[in-house]
Order: sequence, then C-alpha cells, then structure tokens
Amino acid sequence: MNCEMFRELMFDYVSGAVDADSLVDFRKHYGGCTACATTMRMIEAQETILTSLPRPKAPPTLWGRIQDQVRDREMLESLDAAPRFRLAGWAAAAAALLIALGTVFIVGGTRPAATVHELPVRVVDIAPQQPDAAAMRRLVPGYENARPANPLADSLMGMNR
Amino acid sequence: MSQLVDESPEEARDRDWALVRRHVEGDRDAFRQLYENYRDKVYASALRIVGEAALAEDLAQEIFVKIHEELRGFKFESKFSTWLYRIAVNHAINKANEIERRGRIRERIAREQPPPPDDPPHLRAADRFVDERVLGAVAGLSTKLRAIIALRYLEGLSYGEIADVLEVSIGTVKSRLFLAHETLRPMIQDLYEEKEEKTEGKP
Repeated sequence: MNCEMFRELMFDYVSGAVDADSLVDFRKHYGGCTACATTMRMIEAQETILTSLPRPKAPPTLWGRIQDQVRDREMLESLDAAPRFRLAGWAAAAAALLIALGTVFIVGGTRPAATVHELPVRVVDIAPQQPDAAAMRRLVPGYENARPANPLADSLMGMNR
Repeated sequence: MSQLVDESPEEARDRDWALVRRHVEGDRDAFRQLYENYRDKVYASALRIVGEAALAEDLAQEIFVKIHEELRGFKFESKFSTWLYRIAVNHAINKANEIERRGRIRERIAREQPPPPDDPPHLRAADRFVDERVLGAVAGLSTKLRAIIALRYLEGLSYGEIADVLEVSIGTVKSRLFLAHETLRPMIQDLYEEKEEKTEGKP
C-alpha cells in the first residue's frame, strides 16, 4: 500500500469500515510510514475534539416563529386565491355575455325573413304610386295571365289574386 | 440522525415516513413531531455554518417553513432526514456565501460563544477555552468545509449520507474532510499535542 491508498482509507479506518484484507496492508503502512502515521494521529485527535464540541440547542421561541410564519403564509395564499376566484367569476360572466350578444348578432344578422317582413310596410307607403292595372292591361298583352313567381313583385305591382 | 434510544435507522426512517404521511393527510400534530425530532440538529447545523445565533434562528425558521411547504412533494425514495438536511444545509450554505461575500462570517463565528456546559466551574473555563479555540479555527474554513464538519462531527452522518445530502461522491466527501483537517491542523495542533504530552507523562 502506498501513501495515496493509505490516505483514501484513513476515514474508513477511523470509522471501522476497512475490510479485513485491506486492514492488514493498512496497518503495515501505518507502522512503516512516519508521515502517514502523523497524519493519521492528527485526524484521530481532531475528530475527538470536533465531536466533543458543545451541541447548540434550538431556542424555545423557534416553534412559535415557525407557526406564525406558516399561518401568515396560509392566510396570504387564501387571500391570493379569493381574487382569482372573483376574477374567474367575472371572466365567466363576461364570456357568457359576449356569447349571448354574439348569438343575437349572428342569428339576427342572417335572418332573411326579417328583411322581407319589413318590406310590406314600405309597400303600404308606396301604395299610392302603384301602377294602374287597367293601364297595364292596355299596355301589356296577356297581362291578366301573367303569374309573377315572386310574391314581392306581385305585391309591388298591386296584384291581388 | 434523529433517533430515539435503541431505534434502528430503518425504524427511524419508518417513523419519519409515517409522520410525513400523517402531515399530508392533514394531521397538524405530525409536523410538530417532525420539528421536535429535528429542531436542534437543524439549528446546530445552521449555527455552525453561518456562525451567529440570531441568524441561525432566522435560518432555522426559514428552513422549517420551506420544509412545511415542500413536504407534500416528498417522494418516500430517501430518508426524510437526508431530504431535510439537503434543504437545510443548502439553504445555510447559500446564506453563508451571501454573508461571506460581505466579509462578515468569520468575525461572527469567532464571536459566538458556546453554551455553558453543566461541568464544575474549574473544568468549564478550560473547556470553554478549547471550544472557543476550535470554533474560531472552524470559522476560518470555507463554507463548504464548515458544512462538512457540521454534518460529520455535529450530526454524526456517515460519509454516504453526507454524499447524499451534498449531492457529491463519497470520494469528494473524504477529500473535503481531509482538506478541512489539514487546514485546522496548524490552528489547533497545540491543543491535542499538549494532551498527548500530558498523557504520555503520566505514570
């Protein structure tokens, strides 16, 4: 065993974790190398001193401080969560309103019947300007047999069939 | 590790896991029990790393609040104590590095007095002198080396456990420990050489 291998095993040796095979070589080097033996004694002595240092105890106020901070955090989290719910509520209401308005706009905007229903009102307004049926009969041969396919045209022409 | 008398490491692990499960299920007493098991260890490690009692108390508070927040994410793949030390030591190292950048930590540790032991007064003075010398020397180490000294000699963690906590190899743990000892040597050598001489001088 050389000095480098010895050094790798020093801490295992101190904690009694060197296996039996390595232990023989380790002890042989320990007995024969002054530098490694000095280092080993230094580590053992310093370990003894370091492990005997006083162990500080947590102050009795610590638990109260932790409890207070945990409680504050939980309260803040619940407060943070509340506006989120309110915002979500408002967002849902706004979305519902937009959907309702959109539906009204789309359905209302594409309904052809609405336009058609408005027209008879105008027809009434323009009724005095309707062409005279007798004059039409004179001007258009077979006018009596004409069957305009469009009821709007019929109504515009004042044909009451 | 926090172990009751005659409790095996497996029993300690199972006890902690059961407390974590109870906490996750909403039992508020479970966290208090975990705190009771580890408060001194967390506080002592923080004190060794940052070097001032008031700061260590602040740090221990932050560490336990963080643990309370993250406990629901605990995966039961490692010991609770390893998980806790990882959070505690990393938090303390970060804080110490932050303070060290402002060049204050060594003065703090050197100033920190160890608590009075229950020994008779004539022994107390001598022991306190040694403790202060050693604590002053430990204060001269880098944050990483202070952390490893705290985990090994204050908490009594094995090399494997230290490696898990610091997320480094066992070889790195041993190298850092060796470096820590070599750095401490000229500062405290006289303390144990004196003892050795006295022991050798006795009939």
